[in-house]
This record gives sequence, C-alpha cells and structure tokens, in this order.
Amino acid sequence: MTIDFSILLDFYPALLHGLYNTILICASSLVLGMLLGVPICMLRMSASAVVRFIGKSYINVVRGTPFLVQVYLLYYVGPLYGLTLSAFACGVITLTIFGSAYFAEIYRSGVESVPKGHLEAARSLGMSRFQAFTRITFPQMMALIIPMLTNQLVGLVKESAILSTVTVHELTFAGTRIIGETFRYFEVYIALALLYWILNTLLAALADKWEAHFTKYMKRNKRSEWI
Amino acid sequence: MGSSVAVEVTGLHKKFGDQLVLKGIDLHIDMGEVVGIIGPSGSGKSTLLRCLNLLETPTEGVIRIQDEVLYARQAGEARPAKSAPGKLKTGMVFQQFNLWPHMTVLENVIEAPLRVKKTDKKAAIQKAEALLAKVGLLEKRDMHPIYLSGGQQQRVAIARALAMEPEIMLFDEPTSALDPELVGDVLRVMKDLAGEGMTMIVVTHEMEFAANVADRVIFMDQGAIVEQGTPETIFRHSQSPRLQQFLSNTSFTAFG
Amino acid sequence: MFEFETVVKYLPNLLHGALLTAGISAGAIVLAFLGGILLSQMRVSGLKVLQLPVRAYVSFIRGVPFIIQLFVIYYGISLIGVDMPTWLIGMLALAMNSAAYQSEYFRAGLESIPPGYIEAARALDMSKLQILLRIKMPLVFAKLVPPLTNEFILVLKNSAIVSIISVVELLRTGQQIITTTYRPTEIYIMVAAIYLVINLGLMLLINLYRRKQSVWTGRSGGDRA
Repeated sequence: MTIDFSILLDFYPALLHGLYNTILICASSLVLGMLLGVPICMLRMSASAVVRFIGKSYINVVRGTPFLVQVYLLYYVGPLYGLTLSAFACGVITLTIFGSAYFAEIYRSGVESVPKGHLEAARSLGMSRFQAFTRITFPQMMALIIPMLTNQLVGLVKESAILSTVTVHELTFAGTRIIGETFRYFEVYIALALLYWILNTLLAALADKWEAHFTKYMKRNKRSEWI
Repeated sequence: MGSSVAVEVTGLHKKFGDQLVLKGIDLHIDMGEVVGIIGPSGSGKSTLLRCLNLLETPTEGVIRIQDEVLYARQAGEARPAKSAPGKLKTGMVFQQFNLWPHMTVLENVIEAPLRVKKTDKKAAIQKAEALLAKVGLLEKRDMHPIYLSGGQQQRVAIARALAMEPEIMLFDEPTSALDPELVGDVLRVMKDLAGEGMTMIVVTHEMEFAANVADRVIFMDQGAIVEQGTPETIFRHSQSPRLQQFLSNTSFTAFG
Repeated sequence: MFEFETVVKYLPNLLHGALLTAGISAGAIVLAFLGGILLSQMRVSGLKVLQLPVRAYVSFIRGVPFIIQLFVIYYGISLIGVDMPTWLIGMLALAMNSAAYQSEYFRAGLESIPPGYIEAARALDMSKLQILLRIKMPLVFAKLVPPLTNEFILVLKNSAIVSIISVVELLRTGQQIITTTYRPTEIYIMVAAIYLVINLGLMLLINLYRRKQSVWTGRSGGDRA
C-alpha cells in the first residue's frame, strides 16, 4: 500500500468542519469548566473538614479515572436514568466536569502562592475580604496560573479527541468518517495529528504572549529549588 | 624540600568569549607558602585559582604543579598537554561550600577517597573522622548538610578537600558567603592548616587574614598581577595607585 | 438498581483486566524511562543534529491527542507490514508518548543542578562517569520521583484508550462483560473505581516519598498529587 495524501484534498471541508466543532466544544468547556472550578475550589479550601473532603473527593475521582471511562459513564449509563443527551451536549458536559477538577486545583495553587502577609497587609489597611482578593491576591495568582491554565486548555483539546468514540462530530470523528469512505487510515490520522498540533501550538504561543503581560512586574530570576 | 616548587605559571591567558580576563599571568609559588590573592571583583583572581585545577581551561600558557605539567599551550599549538586524570594534587574550597546535599557529612568526605583513590572503606572512614574531629564537627558526621550552618558546612568542605591528601589547597573566597559571626571558626581552621605547613593559595576579601597569615600577598586588577610582596609591603608600602585606591576602599587598617 | 451480585460475580474478571492494565502501563513506563534518558541526553548534547529531532518529537507528542498517536502507530505498523500483538502496540504507543514527557523532566532536572556541586566533584578529581552516577543521577532522581509517579498515573489513564485497538485490558474487559450482562452502571462504576484505587495508591506513595525525602532537602512533605 502506498501513501497518498492527495486524497485529503477532496475532504478538507469535512476536516475543517470537524476542527470548528472541536474548537467550539473546547471553548465552551473551557469557559464552563473554569466557572465550575471556582465553587469546587471553594469547597476544597473550605474551613470545614467535611466540606473540604467533598471537594477533595470530587477532584480525586475526576483526576484519578480515565477520561474515556467518564465519557462512557455519562453516555451509556446516563440514559438508563433518564439523562438522554445529544452526543454534543454529552461531550461538553464531560469535558466541563473533567476540566473543572483541574481548574480548581490550579486556582488553589494560585491562591496559596500569594504570601499570607500580603493579605494581612491589605486587611490591616481596612480592605474587605473581597477587595483584598480582587486587588491583591487575584493579580498575583494570575501570573502564576496562566501557564497552568494554558496547559490545561491544550489538555482539553487533546482529551476532546476521545469524544469521537461516542460519535461527537468533532475533528477526530470527521477523520474516521473520511476513513470510512477512503480506507486511507494512515494519511487521515497523520493529517489529524498535524491539525491538532497546529491548533495546540497556536494556543500555546498565544498564551505565552498573554503570560508576558501578567508577569511584567516580576523579575526574571528563576528561583532555584535547590538548597 | 623547603623551597621546592609548588606552582609555576607562565604567560597564562584566559578568554571568556571576547573578553580577556587573564592577561598573561606569571606566578611562582614554593611549597609551604601561604599566598593571599586580593583585588576588586572582576579582577580575574578567582579565574586564576580555577585554572590551577582546570575548572577553567586556560586559553594559553603553561601551568606546572610541582614537577608535573598540568596544562601547556603556547600560541599556535592546537592541542594542550594536560596531566592524566586522577592525579590532581590540589584540593579546593568554594565560596558556596558545594557540599552534596544528598549525602551526609561523612559520606561527603569519604566519597572521593572511595571512588577516586579506591581507598578501603574502613580506612577512609577513619581518616574522615579524624579530619572532622580536626575541624570540630565530628558529632555532625551523620547529618545532611542542610542542617549545618554555613560556617559548619565550610569546615566540612575543608575536611572533604583534605581527605584527598592534596599537596596544595586552593581557597576561593571561603568566607564571603558566611555571616560575620561564623567567619572566625573557618579562619581558625585555615590558620591551623597554615601552621602545619600546608601550601595554600587563598583568594580572599579578608584583609586581616591576608595580613596575618599569608607569607605573601598578591594584588590583582584587570586580569593582571599589579603588585606582590610581604603583607607588610602590600599593606603599608604599596607602590601602585590602583592598590592604594583598592585599600582605601576597604575598611581594613592593618598595622595602623 | 445497583446490583451487587453482578459486581461480586465479575470482580475477578475485572481484576484480571486490571492486572493487564497495570502490566502494560508498567512496561510502558520502564521503556519510556530508558527512552526518556536517551532523548534527554540527545537534547543536552549540544549537537543540533541530535537536538532538533528530539525537539520536534517532543513537540509532536505534546501537541497531539494520544488517541491519534495510537492510531498513527497502529496503522503505521500495519502499513510497513509488521505483525505485532495489539497489547504490544498499545504498550509501545504509551511508551513513546511518556518518553517525550520524561525526557523533558530529565532535561530540566539536569539543568537545575547547581554547577557548584559538579565543580566540587571535578575538583576532587572524580571522573565524568562517577559524577553522572554519584552526583547528577541521585540529585535528579530524588527530584523526579514525584513527577515520574505522576507520569505513571497519566500512563495508567491513557492505557484505557488502548482498549480501542481491542486490547483486552481493564476497560475492554468491562465492556465485554456489559455485552453479556447488560449492566453498564455496575460495571463502568467498578471499572472507574479500580482505576481510582490504583491511582490514589500512587498519589499516596508520592506523598510518603516527599516526606521521606525531606530528610536532606529540609522541606516538609507536600500534599499535591
């Protein structure tokens, strides 16, 4: 069997449509996941041990099980309990839940990275807790967490390929359909790989610029962890 | 034996990129001598010291340690002659101590004798304990470096270097990273070592040490040796304006 | 309703699948460890001929979903006409994926060793090999145990994806049981629970290690997993 990439020329609209859906799904789950991550993070950092345990359990379950299993659970088990969803909705929901656990942990590491003294200084100047958070903690934690958020976004894009297994019409699924017509497995998967790679590389490059904006005030000396 | 050669350096040049940091150093040191090297930062004094055990590879010049050529490369020569590995006669003590954090104090001291000299383990431990006792830290033998103060770490580092039984000890600003109250202990160990007749080359900011312990003081500036002599001549009868300038900038007032 | 009999009845089958999952993942992580060291040595070699391919490889692995990598390898192997059991292909794909990430850990680890530690060893006349084995490796490795264990967790999770090329590991075993029993609730929850137990165990190990390691780093144990 020879390798012939020219067959892809006939199918590029289908690929582009799949790419569009991948971006749509990932963008929606990014926004929803970042929002859901906030209350999860608050549970995780609660003063009450019971509440903290609930938050921690949620995070551990999501991070400790394969995304594919989570997708199957919602897609195949959900309907047995009246949870009938379109494949698209199922994709967005699982990806949102998946992302929220990671976002919650990212927020937590951001909040914990801000020295306690900074908050105490703000509070001693009469700032409210809310003001102290938005004016002091938030800007500082952003500098730290933006690279992590970017990584997570790239992670979402990569995980989203798994949604093809439950017939979500995203990029990988578009590829499998083309294979169904052409039987050109290798060429199509290489093309998919390239498209994902370009998308993720672009995202990472954009995020680098954004990060530079937030870290302007920081000195560029990497603190060594060594003693 | 009294005046056999310890170090003989001729025409030593060292470039970092385009920057010439050693501009033809000539230096002769006898066995048993204690030499202090002083000078402003960036004068090349640390680089000179680091060339003596090839931590820095010189660009040109000849270095002899005792009767052996350590490094030789004259203009035009493609490949320098270097002495065989496993035969370093120098021990070095660093500004930042550089004890290996994953090993205990004792393990730090016996590591090189065991691996490089293939000393019997029992003998290495015995020797190490004797050295640790000498620097006053035997009771710390099983601790990791992180639990020691800077001064204690530096004394262990001296013991570690001595464990290889070097003929010559190189000290690269050994007290610069220490809190002032910890400097004394390290200097005392060094003074004892000098008293025992160890050949020592000490790059230092401690003018008092240079004045009281060194047999000879060398003043370097801008990659060259500007002036050298007994502490008395260097600190009281300095000739060059650059040395006078340097001394007036340090708070030290030796010999009144 | 949730039928415990189903769970009890098929638990041995699932555990058998879990064993294969663990085996494939462990094999992959070991291969990837060796591959990662090799790649990192190429990366720090200072030779562009060696560096560029590694950089391209790492970038590819990091930018492309694992499921696509798996398919590329799976169909690539059949394209060149090599006959290989699917579990081996799955293991290979997992290893090739993890090796890229591990090589970056090693590189960062090597680069973060303060030069003074190496200089001290050189000043004591230790050879390059002695320095690598006695100083660099222990320092790097001590730092890398947590990220490498974490990497094991990632490989375990990725290994569920090799069920798609019909490797009968934990997830695939579960699916086969579902086709005969039609109890997806119980089985999928059990499958998820088994993954979770293994991974929580690994997270626990990371924390234990952090506590032990603090003997010489002076840092207190962490809680991050």
